[in-house]
Amino acid sequence: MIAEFKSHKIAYIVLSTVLFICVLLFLHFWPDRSKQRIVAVLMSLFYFFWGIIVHKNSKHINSKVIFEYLAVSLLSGTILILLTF
Amino acid sequence: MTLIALGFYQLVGVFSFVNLPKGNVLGYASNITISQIIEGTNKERVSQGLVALTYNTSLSEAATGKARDMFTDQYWAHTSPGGKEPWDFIKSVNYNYKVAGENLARDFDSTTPMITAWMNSPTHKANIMNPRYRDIGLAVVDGKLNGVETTLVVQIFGTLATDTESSTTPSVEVAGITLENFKQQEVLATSVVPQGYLSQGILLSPLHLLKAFFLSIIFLLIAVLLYDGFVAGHRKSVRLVGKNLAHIILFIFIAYLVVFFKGGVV
Repeated sequence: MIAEFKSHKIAYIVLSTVLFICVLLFLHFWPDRSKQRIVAVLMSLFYFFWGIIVHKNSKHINSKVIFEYLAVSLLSGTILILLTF
Repeated sequence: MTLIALGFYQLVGVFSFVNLPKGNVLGYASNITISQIIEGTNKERVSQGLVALTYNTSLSEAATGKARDMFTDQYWAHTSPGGKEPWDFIKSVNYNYKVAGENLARDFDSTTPMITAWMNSPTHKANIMNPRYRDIGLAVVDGKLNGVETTLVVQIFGTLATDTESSTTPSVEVAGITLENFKQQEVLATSVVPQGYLSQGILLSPLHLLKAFFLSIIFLLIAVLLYDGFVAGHRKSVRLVGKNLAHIILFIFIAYLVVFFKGGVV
């Protein structure tokens, strides 16, 4: 995993930074549940497209990868949205 | 394992179209107390140079009536589905106000975050910091709202109509709600202590169960991803799937949010 991080350092820095900002926004918007849900959706969408773009750039894109990122994005988004109900 | 099972039960309860079995399975009670709310509210007012509010038993009776009405008719709003407004509850206890307001809160398990949430909401804050109020009434009532165990908090503000004033101009806000009525009326005070004065501690709130359930899933997935990464790295196999490290980073951020998510609705 360390080798993986080193080979895509910029991509992981971008990912961590955007996720960190999303976390701050999510906590900042409390107790406004609607805004928190919007942040959760944006966070999931960002992760999905981040995965696709990174794999496309490294020419390792296929339907399994797309499905995997879709599933992980949906799961994380669903957890956050259900938490706000 | 029990936590996961209870969390799953609570998760099912999130979907309102699923009918859960009747009965109190969680035994949940918040540790919000009326004295803490009065103390917190007055602390905010005094810090801005406003007079501290006086606890009024009639307003508390009205607040209790409102909380019970929400549980009975299963709604969460300033106005009931049948059109009953906060002022109807205040009038029903013969508190003749010239200005009155209402704040609501639910799903909080302690007082401080609830006061903070009110202060973060402009309309609720406007009620708390309204210089025209003199009295406060409160109700903290446990019950089941839409199939979920919760604690409803009703905070009613008011000032008795003791001066002769002529104009009548109601003004209404959306979240925290205020009504002014400048007709002079006689003051009738009754002494009814509000119900739901809680002394029980927290067992397991629905939110805690949900958090436990989600965290179990997240940590399980992280463990699987770590194991998968370790095995793949050890065998030096070629992988045509997604990046485990990215998934793990995402799940760590999600776990952080689940842990530090604050409940409560105002």
